[in-house]
Amino acid sequence: MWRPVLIVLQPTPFCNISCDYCYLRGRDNRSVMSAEVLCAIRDKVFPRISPDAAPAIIWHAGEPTVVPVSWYRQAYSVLRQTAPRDASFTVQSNGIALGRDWIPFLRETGTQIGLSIDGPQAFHDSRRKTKNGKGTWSLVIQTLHELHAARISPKVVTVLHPLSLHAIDEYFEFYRDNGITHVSFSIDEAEGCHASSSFNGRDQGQGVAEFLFGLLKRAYAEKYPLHIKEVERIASILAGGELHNEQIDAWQVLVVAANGDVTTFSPEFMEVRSSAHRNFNFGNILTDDFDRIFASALVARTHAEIRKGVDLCRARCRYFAVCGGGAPSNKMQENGSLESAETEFCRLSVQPAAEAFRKFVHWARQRSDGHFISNPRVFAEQHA
Amino acid sequence: MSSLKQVWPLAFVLATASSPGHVDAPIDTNPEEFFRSGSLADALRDNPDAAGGVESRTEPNRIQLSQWSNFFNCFSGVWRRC
Repeated sequence: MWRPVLIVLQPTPFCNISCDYCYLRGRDNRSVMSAEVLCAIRDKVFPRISPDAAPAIIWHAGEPTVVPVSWYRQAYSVLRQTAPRDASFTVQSNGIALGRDWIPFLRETGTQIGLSIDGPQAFHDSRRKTKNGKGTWSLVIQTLHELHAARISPKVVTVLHPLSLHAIDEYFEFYRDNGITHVSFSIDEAEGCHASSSFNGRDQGQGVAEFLFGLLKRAYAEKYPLHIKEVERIASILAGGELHNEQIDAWQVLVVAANGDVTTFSPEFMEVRSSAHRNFNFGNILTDDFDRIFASALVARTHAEIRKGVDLCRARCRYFAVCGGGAPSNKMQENGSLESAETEFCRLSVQPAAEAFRKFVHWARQRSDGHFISNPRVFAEQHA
Repeated sequence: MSSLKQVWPLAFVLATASSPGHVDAPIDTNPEEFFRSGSLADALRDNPDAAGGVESRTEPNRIQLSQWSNFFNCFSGVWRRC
């Protein structure tokens, strides 16, 4: 049976802020996912999933919290009728309008939350702005503290700017002083309607690696448990975990847009334009039979192209064992073809994370003091 | 913030396993050797000479991997921005 890893549901394309690097084309569209789409997910999608699957279901692709909690309560009552028992729900939010009614909702439903915070105030406010051009840092930090007071620990996404790379200490102290222990980094990629990255034309891979390495060193030295998602992923693979790139196989990822449109492989395909691939819109769950969407010739052809790209990665890239073939959406957007290999995303995200971890292990090996526990087995078990 | 649950990053665990006190751990930071799947799998292998021996023979790397997996499940990185 089908075992998707990630299901992205778009409650609305609308977003209440205007980030400089946003790539979502429909962020002024105030439509909300209808009851018919929710019922179609319940009736056509979830029953196909293996009962023992544990997909992460994420409300995203717009600002989910602009839709009232009452809508989510209704949505959960519909979706949980057929959702796999071990499915988890997460809201990915900019955190600026998270009303107080959200906290009891998150608790009652076990829904987790991720916040987008671009580090210290000056960095965040320079690009994450209200529609009137004002900074949003104070608002999201207030939300962060309210969540912490309710003993909810959001994971944080930080989009880096080239200037960030020179502010390692400021970033580390920001995370430490605000109790943020889980962070994921990305760069503003040229994607969707965001035509160019602030990293364009700059060879910043080494800088990103040094930034991540610097954060790891400070966190380790201060015994602060800072989990950098990209580094943890690579560490887990090198420690013997399974390499899994969910973007290279069909239907490991499922995205359902607010209007019922469906895509798979990279979630960002929803924003990528390619006439040869019908803009990666593989069907609509309201109007199309899901079996036909699932097994369509277009999905099969796209999959074959992605596989050829992965083969190129395998043949050419030193980092293939910790990557698994990159992100098809980046290959399409940057290289104009799925049958291609390295992208800026590789050079500025996967490769720097791998190099930062390698340098960190090498650095730790040279140290003769400062190890805060002598036996890694004890270390692992004490904190499990 | 001290009340927040703290679980140590796997990166730290592996770095600690590579310390001079654990010279038996076959860590090679040469990139060609390092970036192989499972290249650090032995770093967490039981070391009978290590200080503070533990009676339980559970699998620490599995514990840590499940922690990472939980992290992944609650916050997938494939949808990278909002």
